[in-house]
Amino acid sequence: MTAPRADEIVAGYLARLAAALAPVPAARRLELLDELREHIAEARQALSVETDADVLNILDRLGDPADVAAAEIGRAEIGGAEAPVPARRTSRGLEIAAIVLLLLFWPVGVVLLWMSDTWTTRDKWIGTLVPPGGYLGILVLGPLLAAGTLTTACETVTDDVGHVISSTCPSAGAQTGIDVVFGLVLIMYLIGPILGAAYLAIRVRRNRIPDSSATRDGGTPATVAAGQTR
Amino acid sequence: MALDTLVTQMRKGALEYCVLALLKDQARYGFEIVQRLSQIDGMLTSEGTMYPLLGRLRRDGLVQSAWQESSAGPPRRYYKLTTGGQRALRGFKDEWTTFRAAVDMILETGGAK
Repeated sequence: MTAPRADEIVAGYLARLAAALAPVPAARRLELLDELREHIAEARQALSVETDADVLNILDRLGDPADVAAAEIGRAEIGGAEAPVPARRTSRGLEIAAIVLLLLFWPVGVVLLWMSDTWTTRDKWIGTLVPPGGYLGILVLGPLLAAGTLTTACETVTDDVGHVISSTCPSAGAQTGIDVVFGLVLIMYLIGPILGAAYLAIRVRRNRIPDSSATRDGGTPATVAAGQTR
Repeated sequence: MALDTLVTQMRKGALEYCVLALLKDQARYGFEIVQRLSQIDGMLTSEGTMYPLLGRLRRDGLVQSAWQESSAGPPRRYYKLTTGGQRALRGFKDEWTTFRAAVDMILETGGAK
């Protein structure tokens, strides 16, 4: 005996399953749909008297079509028992280019630095800010600094006998202070980019080994997680 | 929560060998495999996912399927172990027995010899 809406309910379930299985190759999709259709038919046959509630219960035990599809698709993506170990890039072209360009042409270097997945965010900020601009920064900021300190135009007004009436020139002491600051800034700008580049290069080498092992560690649970039941 | 996750993972890992064990002595069809596992508390939470699992076991060459006439109703797809499946099952059984004994021993004695 068939419950009033049983066929409709089953057809709805199978349609949702078919939709969820859309990414699965057609032959396999049809086979799976066949198997679940058979399962439902067997389960219904086992009932002496069938109600809509019984049919809903059978489908409930089968589980959400999305979960059934996920069990199939998760596996298809993994392609068997082996977890997909994402291929580690062996070439470090992007990183090398990023480091070199940070020194020579900072704006492009920064973009490459942030594109790479090799460095941590902290490393990237260090690479970006130590020092800002790389050697390009010197070209831009250097003359500005020089203009602002060394060659400050000053004007001295003297009276007829040569006594200084007023002067906008910094005193000798102040000038020395400015020179020291400028010298430090200059040294920072000469050494900073090299230090920054060296730091990033070291981090590339250091991140290599932990990274690949982290990938493997991450891969193993994925194999298990790709199992079929929740 | 961590324990829940662990139990789920262990069940998932063991399930495919339980399926192989069900097929050790005789071929069975999908619905029958599901019925038997569902009777055992907690082994199968979402029955429909058994079919993707059977599909994978077949792709891995551990089981094979064949149509068989049924006395009641349409023909059924029966699954049976291949030699590879028998080998995998024996391998798991050995590992499992050793592992279970080791964990039992440690849990009961706290590791004292």
